Amino acid sequence: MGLRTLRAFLVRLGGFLRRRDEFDEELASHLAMHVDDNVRAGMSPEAARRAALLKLGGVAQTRERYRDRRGLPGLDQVAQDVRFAVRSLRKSPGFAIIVILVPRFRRLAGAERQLRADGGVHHARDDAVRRRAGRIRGVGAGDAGFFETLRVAPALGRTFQPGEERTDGHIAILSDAAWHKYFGGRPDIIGQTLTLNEIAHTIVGVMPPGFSFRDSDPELVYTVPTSIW
Amino acid sequence: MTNRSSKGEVWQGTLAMMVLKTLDTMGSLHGYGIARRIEQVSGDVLSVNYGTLYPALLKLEQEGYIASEWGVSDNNRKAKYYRLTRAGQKHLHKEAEEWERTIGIVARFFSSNEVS
Repeated sequence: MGLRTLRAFLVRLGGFLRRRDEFDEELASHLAMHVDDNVRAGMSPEAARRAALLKLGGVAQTRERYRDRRGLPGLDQVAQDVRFAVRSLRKSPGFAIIVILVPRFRRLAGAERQLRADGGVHHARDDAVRRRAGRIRGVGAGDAGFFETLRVAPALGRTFQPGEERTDGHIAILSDAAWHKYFGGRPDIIGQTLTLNEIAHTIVGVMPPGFSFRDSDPELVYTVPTSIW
Repeated sequence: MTNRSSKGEVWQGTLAMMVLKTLDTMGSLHGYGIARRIEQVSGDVLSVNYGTLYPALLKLEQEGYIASEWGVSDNNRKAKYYRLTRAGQKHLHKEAEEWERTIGIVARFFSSNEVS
């Protein structure tokens, strides 16, 4: 795999992520307008959001259909590219690791942005909710592969299962720091509820102390990418 | 159902035409507005997920029948607005004619069946 091929791959990956970002923005705008209309029709913000999501037919499913039409590589394709890159780059493993982590990291960064932006818009009217949201410093979005790539077993419970990122399930994994800070390290944490963006998330796992993703906030709470919409 | 894909293709074609007609009538409009308008005009007969609209919009844009740009909605929401291009106008015209011809043929077929 020459430098040119490598660069082409990275450009393609970058383009894929950018376009995905733009469609995410379009979907967010669609949902915001629908929620506005529903609230104006008399629904509570939470019911309005649920109804809008239901009518859309799921964020993950919509994204998938859009990607199919676009003819872009799905994540499977990216994974295949990465496996190929790994095989080709045995001699410089450091680079292969960067290639694997880049898309995951982008997703993390995007999710944190989304939560903050969303929090500003939707929580402004409700002080109690804003305080609750303010307690959580950062939320990262990962999937089964994210934890698998980092090869760290959870201290309690489990990590995400393959395909779970497409189910719109409201589940969360706590970092050790988040577990102690928000829940006092209580041992019966699995199955407890954490509210993110007004949505109740069931806690399914806690990561061991010292687990953090590169330079990310060690107090992160992790959810699947579709969950915080 | 074995021929789900062909049924899907017919649906996609119908949806595409409704999108073009909507933009022809309404001018520039965002995806959410297009979905609401189609639902309204069809008298809520079409109970369909709004999400299915977006691949159709993408396809129409790739074909050059519609163009898009970001703008701001009445309620100050940032939104991606779609409009009909000249090629889209021509395509809609042609499709409408074809549609009427098809309806005519089917109508004649049914009425002749009734007689016999």
